[in-house]
Amino acid sequence: MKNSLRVERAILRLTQDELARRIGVSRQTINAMEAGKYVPSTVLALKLARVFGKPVEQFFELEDTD
Amino acid sequence: MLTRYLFPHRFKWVGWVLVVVSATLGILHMTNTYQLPPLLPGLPSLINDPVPANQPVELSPRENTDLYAVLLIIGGLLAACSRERHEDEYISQIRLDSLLWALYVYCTLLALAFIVVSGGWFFTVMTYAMFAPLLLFLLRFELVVRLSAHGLPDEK
Repeated sequence: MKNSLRVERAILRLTQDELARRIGVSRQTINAMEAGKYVPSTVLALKLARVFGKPVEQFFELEDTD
Repeated sequence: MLTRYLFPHRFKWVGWVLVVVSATLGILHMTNTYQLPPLLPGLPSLINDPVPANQPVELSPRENTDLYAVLLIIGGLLAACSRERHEDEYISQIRLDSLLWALYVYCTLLALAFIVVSGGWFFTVMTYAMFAPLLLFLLRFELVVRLSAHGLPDEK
């Protein structure tokens, strides 16, 4: 699964640490998601959608291999 | 992952202290490098080898290694099963992966031990193998969590 979390975070001028605090996770988790090493749960994805103010489909995208 | 069954984060350092102290004393004892005086002199063993009917029952002082083993198990569990400072679903994923990894590595090493080791050495290997799953999990989990924390790029 591809994502544009880094871009969305940059639009809001948030650091990884600030975004992590807003959704209640560690900075490692944000970094792992941005690097594509970790696919978050539905709950976490919806929390991100709330922070970014847009639906999850706009920053998460399925790949052919998914 | 079963995060509800984890201990509070403050137990983590207690666990590490117990692991380091008991493992050090245990290895020193097993290698005859340094041995404390008997720490469990009066503790009876409920299950032991049968004593012939015509011989008196003698209570031999219990080895300190029994105490070290119990402390190592308790310490290992506390260190491995305490919450991280920021326990979240990614950490839970690492925990689950580490559990599986430790099981695979342990079973591989155990199978190798059955093939390669025999005689009295096999007993020695089994002694260490009793603690291997817990310690393998602990080492792998801590390594991955610490590496993911230290490997973070500079924030932008």
